[in-house]
Amino acid sequence: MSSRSAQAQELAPNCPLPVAIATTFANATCTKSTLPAAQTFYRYFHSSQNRYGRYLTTDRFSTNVEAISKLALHQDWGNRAEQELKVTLPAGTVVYQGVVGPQTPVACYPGGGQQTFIETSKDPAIVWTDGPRLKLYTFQCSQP
Amino acid sequence: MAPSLHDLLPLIDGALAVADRHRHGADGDRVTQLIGILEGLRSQVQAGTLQPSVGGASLGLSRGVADWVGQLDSPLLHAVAAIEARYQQLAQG
Repeated sequence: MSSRSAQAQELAPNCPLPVAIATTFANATCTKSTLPAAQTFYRYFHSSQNRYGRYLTTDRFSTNVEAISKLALHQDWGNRAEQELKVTLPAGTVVYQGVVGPQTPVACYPGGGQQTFIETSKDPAIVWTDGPRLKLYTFQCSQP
Repeated sequence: MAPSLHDLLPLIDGALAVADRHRHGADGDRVTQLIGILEGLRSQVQAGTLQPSVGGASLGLSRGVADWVGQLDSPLLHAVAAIEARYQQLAQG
């Protein structure tokens, strides 16, 4: 098998989402399930612009730099992950779960945290509750 | 001609064109932010400073757009996904 076709096979999604979203998971792998009961997830944000969104996690972080690194929150998008948000999804919500995929530069955004994706963040039954502020450190990414 | 990261330039320009058409929509601020990110990416590619994908790493474009885009079949998401796909195809072996 040529290296190019081997690479294409490696990138083939194993996740029932559009390829664009499947490849945000590590190894393009995720599992689809329906919540049998209400469940709380988390999101890390710092402004109204990035408070709500489709990407959640079951991981909890105490510092902003850990959240940015493990959730691959590329700082070009401006989310400094200064506060935790508790997101309670109602029973019956379809979730896609896997591992956060790495982003370039990988030394800064290795991912590896738990990643949960929901099809819409606008369900009125979702409860968004402010959590604690994280311990803040300067996030340094020396690579371009 | 051997494939290179410069192959991304027409895809980036395509995404910029799509983003420009959505600049005055509901998520105008976010689209403007995306335009800035795409222009920065374009500069990196032209300067030869963009690192190739390693270990399946993406550029974070799809992750960024999919978080807030109105519909998951949005032309914006399709446009950035095309960049991501080509970037990963060009990865080091």
